[in-house]
Amino acid sequence: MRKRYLAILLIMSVFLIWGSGSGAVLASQNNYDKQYTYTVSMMNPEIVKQDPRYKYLKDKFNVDFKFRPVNWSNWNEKVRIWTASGDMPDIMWMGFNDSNFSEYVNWASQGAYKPLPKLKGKYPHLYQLRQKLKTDDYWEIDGKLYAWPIYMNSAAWRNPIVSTFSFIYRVDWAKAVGLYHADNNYSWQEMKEMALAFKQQDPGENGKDKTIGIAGIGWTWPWFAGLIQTHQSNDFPLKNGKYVWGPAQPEYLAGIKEIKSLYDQGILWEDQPIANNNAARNKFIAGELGIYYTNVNVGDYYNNVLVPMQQAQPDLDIFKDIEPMYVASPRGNFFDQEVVDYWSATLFSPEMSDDKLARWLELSDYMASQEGMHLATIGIKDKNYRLKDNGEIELLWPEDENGKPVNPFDSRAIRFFELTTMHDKFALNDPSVPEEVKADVKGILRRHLKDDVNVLAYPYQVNWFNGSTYTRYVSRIADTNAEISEAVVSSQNMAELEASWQEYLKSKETTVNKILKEINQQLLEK
Amino acid sequence: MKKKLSRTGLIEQMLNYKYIYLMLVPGLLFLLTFKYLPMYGIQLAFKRYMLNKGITGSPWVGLENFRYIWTEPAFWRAFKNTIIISLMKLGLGFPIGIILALLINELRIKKYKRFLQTIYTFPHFLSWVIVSGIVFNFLGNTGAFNSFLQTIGMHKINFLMNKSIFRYLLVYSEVWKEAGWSTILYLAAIAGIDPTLYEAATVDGANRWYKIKYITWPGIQNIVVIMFIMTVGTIMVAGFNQVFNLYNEVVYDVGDIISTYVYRISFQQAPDYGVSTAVGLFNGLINFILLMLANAFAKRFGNSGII
Repeated sequence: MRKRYLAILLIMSVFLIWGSGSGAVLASQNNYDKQYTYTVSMMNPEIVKQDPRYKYLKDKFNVDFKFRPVNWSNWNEKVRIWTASGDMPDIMWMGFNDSNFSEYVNWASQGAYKPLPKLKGKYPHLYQLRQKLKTDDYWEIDGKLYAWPIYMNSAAWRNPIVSTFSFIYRVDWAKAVGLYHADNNYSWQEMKEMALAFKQQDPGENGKDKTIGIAGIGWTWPWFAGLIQTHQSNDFPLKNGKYVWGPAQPEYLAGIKEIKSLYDQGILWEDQPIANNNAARNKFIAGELGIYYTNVNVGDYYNNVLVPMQQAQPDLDIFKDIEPMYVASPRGNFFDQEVVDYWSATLFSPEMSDDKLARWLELSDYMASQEGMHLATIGIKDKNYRLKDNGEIELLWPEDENGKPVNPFDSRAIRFFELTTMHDKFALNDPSVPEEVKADVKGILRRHLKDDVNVLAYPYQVNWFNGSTYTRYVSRIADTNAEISEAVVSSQNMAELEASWQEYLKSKETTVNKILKEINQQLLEK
Repeated sequence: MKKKLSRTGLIEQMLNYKYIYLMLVPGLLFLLTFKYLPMYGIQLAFKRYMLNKGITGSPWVGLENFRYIWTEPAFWRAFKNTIIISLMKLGLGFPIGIILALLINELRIKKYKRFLQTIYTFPHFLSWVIVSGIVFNFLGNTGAFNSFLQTIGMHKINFLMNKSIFRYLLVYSEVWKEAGWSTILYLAAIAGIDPTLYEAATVDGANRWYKIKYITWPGIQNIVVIMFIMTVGTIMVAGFNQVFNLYNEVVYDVGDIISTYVYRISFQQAPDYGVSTAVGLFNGLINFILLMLANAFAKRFGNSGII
């Protein structure tokens, strides 16, 4: 009898286990039985749709996407209009950073975004990424996370994370004018002399007044040309134990004067104040610009500068004739700024159902896993790469005539695969990118991490301050760049520039004082 | 003296002409939907807009938004620029259409007349994005005009970043784009003038100038006045599309107008819809006053106004 009961129990257990197992499988299938279609703001959506990884993700999670196209010039404007009009896509990608954090606080606290559920346990890979993020806590408002900050996933040796912003220059021109330094280190004065020599001696043979000395990527104007070299920015640095407004400091004015001096001497490109983002790059590619300031990250530097430059100037040896330029600030020291460990954020529509968000978070959690990161960087498992028994990766990418792997994916689709995490670490080791390019970028980063570089720590506290006065009024003092442009171009001399700048500062005094009062009261008391 | 219609008379008249009145409906619906209903948002000028509370639920802040713009130099700069640029366009641009129409009307060869009309009217159909591209390519530092100056050994002129030139750039580019289009209405008015008047004038020995002065001009005067009032009614608009596509940070001081200022504070930085609505309301109010003044002015000088 006992044996009989035992047998029944055993059979029941088997059924139960089988049943529960199949139930779990069924539940999981049920989960994915229903297809969700997400509206997503995206760059280059047509290219994304052609990417085999896109189809792979759609099939894997039984989801579909309707893209709302954005580009760099209208990105944030479109996002703001969608948010304000309640027409936000399900998944919205926005350039939230320290300068518009107040906007995030305002929108999030007004219910514009759907808060994320607790990640711990359910989404282990996302949870892990959050633990790594230095600014993690700042993103929470009243204990809720309203955005997914896109973690940069940088190499461990990048500590602190210094920027990849740098001047790059024409080594062949520098040699031609006799001002070349083999170590690529230059003082500010030496760089100015070189730029002037490029302009006057025209080593590129562009014709009279056609060669440009220095120019930078549009959105880095005007700070690349002088302000950053004087270690100032448009925020609230701590000075003598008190928070002050950056633009009102003498160093800031010194920076503006430096820009003015470069501009008036013709060292700086005359169209720089009105140039769009790619204008200077195009001049560099065309061989009309000698020194170019840009964000020298691997992908951009290689795909958007060196490759087109080689195409435009086949005689150029892009790996020898173009080099990063390490330029000391006018104060004599090398200078850089720590940057945050995320770039932009993904936000979710409050209209989206919990289940729909959950499916996205599952997809997102997958993208944060090892396999997901491989998908974003090297492709689909067993199609674009194979995992060897020892865990090593064997790339199955096509190869060029020299046996070098060729990335089978269009790099312009990357934004879609980086809605969860970026792959900075991979970019520095991308096998399809020439070693010289990676060495240049690593060289910049390592140079910025040397002891003689003054790395300005990232002002987490103040940049992420969410006091009510600060978040309400800080955007009203966001027009300094325009004022600088006007002062630099339109002032007849330094005295006029200074007067015009003082007038601007005075016009902002009331608003700034309100903000400073709150920052000093709340942050210094902590 | 006009006889006033009684209420029953009006209803009777409407019934008699019901199909004609019916034709008004789409226009009225359009006005109602796109002009009057959105006025519901005007209350934002007195509120601090909060997305979660909506337009009606957002808290009232009284005149705080107006107090802010009152003390904001960028607003007053935009206000001043809007008026100056509009007046320049009115003064320099408005007569051009009339003059052009009078000149075109004097042409004898019909084919040449049509050809010229087409040439002058064509730019109207180009968007300001295209026109600004043309302007940049022609007048930019590396543009055709500066290249020419350099070729003949002269210094370049920085047209796009020069504060003393920028407003003229706006006026002349607008004249280039719109003068031909504005002639259409005047030419239509001229075409409506009784040709026997010209024949009689010819018999009387009047030359061309006298015909223009005593026949053509009086014939189009009412249209000119109406167009003038309409143009004054848009003074505070000043041409967002044009300025937005042509201006840059360096010339904000002379080129930033209210609509571009509102655009920037609404969409290019963390938005404050209360402030931008307050600016818009203020702008609309000034525009309304100007329109009424122009109308009264026209009536006073013996012409029919629009109201």
